[in-house]
Amino acid sequence: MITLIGVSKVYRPRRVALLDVNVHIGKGEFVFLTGASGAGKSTFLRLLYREQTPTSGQVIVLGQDVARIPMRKVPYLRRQIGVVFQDYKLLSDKTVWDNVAFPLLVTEHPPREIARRVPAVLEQVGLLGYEKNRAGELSGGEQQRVALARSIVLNPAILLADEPTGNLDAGTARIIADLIQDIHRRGSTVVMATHSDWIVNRLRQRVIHLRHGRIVADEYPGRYVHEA
Amino acid sequence: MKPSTWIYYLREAWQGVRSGGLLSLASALAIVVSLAALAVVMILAVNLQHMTRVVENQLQMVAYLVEDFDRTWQDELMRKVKAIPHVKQATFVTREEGLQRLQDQLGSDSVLLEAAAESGNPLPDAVEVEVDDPRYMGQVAAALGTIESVEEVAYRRDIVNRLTALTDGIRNVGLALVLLLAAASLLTVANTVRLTIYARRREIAIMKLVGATNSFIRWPFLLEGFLFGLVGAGLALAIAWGGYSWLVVRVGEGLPFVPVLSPDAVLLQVAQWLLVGGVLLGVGGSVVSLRRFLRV
Ligand SMILES: Nc1ncnc2c1ncn2[C@@H]1O[C@H](COP(=O)(O)OP(=O)(O)O)[C@@H](O)[C@H]1O
Ligand SMILES: [Mg+2]
Repeated sequence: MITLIGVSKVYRPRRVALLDVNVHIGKGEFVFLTGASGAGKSTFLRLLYREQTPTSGQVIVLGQDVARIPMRKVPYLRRQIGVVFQDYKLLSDKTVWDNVAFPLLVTEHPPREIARRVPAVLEQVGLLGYEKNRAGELSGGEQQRVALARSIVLNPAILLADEPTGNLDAGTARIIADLIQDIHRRGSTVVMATHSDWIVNRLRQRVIHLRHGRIVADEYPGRYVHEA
Repeated sequence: MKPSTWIYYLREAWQGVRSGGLLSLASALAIVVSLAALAVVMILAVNLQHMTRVVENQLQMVAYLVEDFDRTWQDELMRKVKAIPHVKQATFVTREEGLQRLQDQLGSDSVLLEAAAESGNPLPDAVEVEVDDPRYMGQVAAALGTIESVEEVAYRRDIVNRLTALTDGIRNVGLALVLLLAAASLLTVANTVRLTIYARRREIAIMKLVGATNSFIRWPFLLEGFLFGLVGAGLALAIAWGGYSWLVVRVGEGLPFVPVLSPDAVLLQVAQWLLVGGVLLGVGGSVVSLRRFLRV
């Protein structure tokens, strides 16, 4: 499903974000990507949906060498990858419905299917009844649910979540983590970046730990690695 | 493409026009100005061409005779004139008849005629010649010129030449002006669309991340430019139509002998060009902006 071979990413002028990363993530896995701030978690995820390309090495997602596919095929790759962004990236002056329907709209799904699909995912994340609220006026936890609903509305094979509980209180963070676990149970491969030790330790899944851009631990089932 | 997608594009394009505010208005106006100039040039050129053709089809020419022409030679002269190939008809016009005609044309109280009455008739005797085919005007004129006692041959060739030169001049200068205005309006549209792109940069980034194709992202902006072009062309056409209709009536009253084309005939032709020009300017402006500011 996801394979990285000798992947390094160096940002200009010479900040090393990832260094010789080799890893394979199989279909249906749930992987925590942990590490201190600046360890390279976001960069790892961005390479997978081709927001960035590696400086060297190969990133293979769903059987395609992501850096080599032509630009015009990138949208079709992204339709198979749901992403929950660290900063949500919601359209704050549009409604919850519009935000969740957005991926369906821009991929030219017929209105009938949009009307069927949006309520289904809103129910899945517990936001039924919020359709007409503007995204910007919701609480942080609610916005994260909207982001989650949007990321799964296209039924992606892979779900990437970048610190989805980072800005939330413990109770809300748990609910979001449970929702992601629920999405995983329904068959998606999930990669979730986090530095929340108790969530990692509670779910007991595979843990890949990054330090200064290198993988320093990869265990299943893993526990959170505390930096010395 | 699905109708629902088109509805989305149109809604977004209209949103872009509205959020552009005054700049959108400037875009449409810039296109109006360019296209109105194009319309003026076209209307002028088409009319001049028409005038040239009308004049060309007047098959008359006049051979003015020497001042001291001896009228006992009249029959001899007329025989020679009528012997020239392609001369259909020839009429001898005495200087008295010539003056009489001028009086009828200008009215009896003309200053010119008063002057003529004092200093004597300024006109020479003349032969009016009608040719059977406009292509032989030059040939006939040359033959007339060789006849003894013919001082000068006047026919519409000079007027035709002058009209043709005028038409070419107006066309060249006009088109240069139109191109200049077109470039300016292209930039205005490009600027407006650029602003829409800037206002939407966040939305566009998200569209890309959730799997929108580049063409899907571009269409609303192309349509925005298209709308500017359409509105601009419509307004320019309205102005051209109103202005030209008004002018035709005035010319009809004041200068009835000037052959102008009817508005319907001219403007149908002009309308096509304005529409094409408007759409090219609008969509072209969008394309300029999309290439520079929407790296998708
Ligand atoms: N777009 C960028 N340009 C330059 N440096 C970047 C960029 N994104 C991240 N970095 C740097 O790369 C390193 C890894 O960042 P990141 O992948 O965001 O780590 P994490 O998500 O684990 O905090 C950091 O030192 C960060 O400052
Ligand atoms: Mg990060």
